[in-house]
Amino acid sequence: MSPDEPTTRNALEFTDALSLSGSAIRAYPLRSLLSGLGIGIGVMAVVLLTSIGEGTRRYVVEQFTQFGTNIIAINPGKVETGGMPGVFGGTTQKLSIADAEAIARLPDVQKVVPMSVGQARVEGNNRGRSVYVYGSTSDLPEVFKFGVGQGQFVPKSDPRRGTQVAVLGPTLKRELFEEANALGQFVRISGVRFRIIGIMEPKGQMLGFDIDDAIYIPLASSMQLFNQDELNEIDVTFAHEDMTEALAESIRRLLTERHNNKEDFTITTQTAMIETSGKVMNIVTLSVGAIAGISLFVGAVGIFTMMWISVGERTSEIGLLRAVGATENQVLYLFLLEAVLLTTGGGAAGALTALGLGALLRAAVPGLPVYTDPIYIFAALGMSTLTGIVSGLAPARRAASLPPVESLRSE
Amino acid sequence: MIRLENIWKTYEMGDQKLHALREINEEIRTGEHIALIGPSGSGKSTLLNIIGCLDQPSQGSYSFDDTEIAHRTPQELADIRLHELGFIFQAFHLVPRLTALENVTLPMLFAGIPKAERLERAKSVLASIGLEPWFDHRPAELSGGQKQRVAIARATVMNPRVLLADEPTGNLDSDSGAQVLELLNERNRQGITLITVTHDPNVARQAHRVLVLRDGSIVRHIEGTHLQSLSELFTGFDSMDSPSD
Repeated sequence: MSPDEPTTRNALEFTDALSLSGSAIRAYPLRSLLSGLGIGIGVMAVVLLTSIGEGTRRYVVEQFTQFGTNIIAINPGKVETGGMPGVFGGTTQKLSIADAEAIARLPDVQKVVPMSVGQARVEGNNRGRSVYVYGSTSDLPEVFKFGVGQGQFVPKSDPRRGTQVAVLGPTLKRELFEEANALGQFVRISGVRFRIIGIMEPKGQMLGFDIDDAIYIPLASSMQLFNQDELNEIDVTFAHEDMTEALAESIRRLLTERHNNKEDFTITTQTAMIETSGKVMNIVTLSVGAIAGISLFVGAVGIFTMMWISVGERTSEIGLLRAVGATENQVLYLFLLEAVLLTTGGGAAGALTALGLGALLRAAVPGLPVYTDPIYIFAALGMSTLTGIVSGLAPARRAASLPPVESLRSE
Repeated sequence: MIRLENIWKTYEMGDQKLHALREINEEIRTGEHIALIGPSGSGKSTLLNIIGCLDQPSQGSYSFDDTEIAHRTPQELADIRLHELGFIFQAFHLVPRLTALENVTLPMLFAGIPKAERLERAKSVLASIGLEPWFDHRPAELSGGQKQRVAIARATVMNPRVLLADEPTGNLDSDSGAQVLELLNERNRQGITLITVTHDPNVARQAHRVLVLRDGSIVRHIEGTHLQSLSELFTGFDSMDSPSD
């Protein structure tokens, strides 16, 4: 064959390149391990921290949606605008039972629950405990998806007329009466006697707060007990999530009109709450991921340094490869592959460690929300490979561009 | 087969020009055994590297089989090295982490030859020079002579037409050196063109022609019966330089 003819050269097989680059990695086990470890720790940090971030986000969303998504809450006072309500001009209208009744007449509204909340000492069975007292109407269990375990909830009656009956949350019941039957017994709330007519089903916690450590009484009794002349909250349910915005707008219009054209109340929709908390959590996850990303960057610098030194040390080997016929591109390919093998190997080990640590954390700290989206694992591996390409490119180009004669001379 | 016309190799160092090769005109025929001798810095290795397509001349024309080689792309030069040329070095240049067999398969890897064929060819070449028991040994486990024989196997496994040897016996004791020399001569007898850079009169004496270089120029051609008087020439070199060129 004459050099003028096109030479026949098949591509360097991937498996052959893999075994050649792999042998270079194995030739310096400690050095390879340490530089791979840099990437491994970076990937582990990214996966683990974003898992905790994502777990927290999911936890918060779950907490908010446990009462359902078709619910709107109205509270007195305007929190979204600045200034203090009622200070500058005009009188601030109070959120009243009449407001709640007006809302109930709006189309698409299913249930309306006016609420009065206070904190008081509850005594019974010679024990006492300070808990939240919820004054409300008979629709509360349905609206908040609470179940009644024993007896009944506050009966349906005129919201303006109180009766001295109470329903205990299961935690409060256990604290006061333990396993004994409490139905028909009496408790004193701030000294006023109430007859126990029901016990709620356990509901658990919301954001660390025990919902079951509470007592429910008729709305008017609570307002009287706490000497309140306005509601703390009105909760409204409706049929479909799609109606949220339209209904919130109708309520806003209705109440503004009723309150002398002042928007002196705040409407919170569940979707808005989830969106806001989702945004906050996304920022948290991103920041945590970025911090972890820094350690990945440090790992990449380690790979770059290692590969650069390695090319310097193996100059004569590179010269030999060129002498036996390797092209510049083949040398580039081999060194790039070496860097990618190191980072992908390190990254895979890091991701596995993160999964293991995540499982360990879940087992050790049951409350800690850790959720590893499988997409993080693939993203982490993709990122490790990319890191290998980026950090290995300059050393590999250096190797490929070494003049063969000078490379062979260095020994 | 190899024609060098007015070859110059010049290095520029600041304002100074250093001529490593000056006006080289030479023709090497297929199957010849040529020895390049001369004191250190005389340009023999530079000439070997240019013939071996590892380096390019600054000026002049180099044709291989009537085809101009100068000013080829690095890719084309790599192709010529892969298919037409085999290199043997004083320092062996075996990859330390690879076994003897793997070192011999290396050029075939870059040619994309399938694994089964690679192994078969490498084994047969190594076995033919008596290295069968050493297939799986790494260079550190081999003697100098064995290393150079592995290097010869690697240089010949692609069936090149030209073998380029830079001080092939320079790091070997006389027995191993003789063995390696015999292997190279055998390849030459089979028709492979052999070009050797050497400091050893015994190596040079076995060549068909000896080219003596001095200060980048070919100053003498020695052939036939004159080869016997080579030793005097080397005595002259030894007073001028150290053996490592």
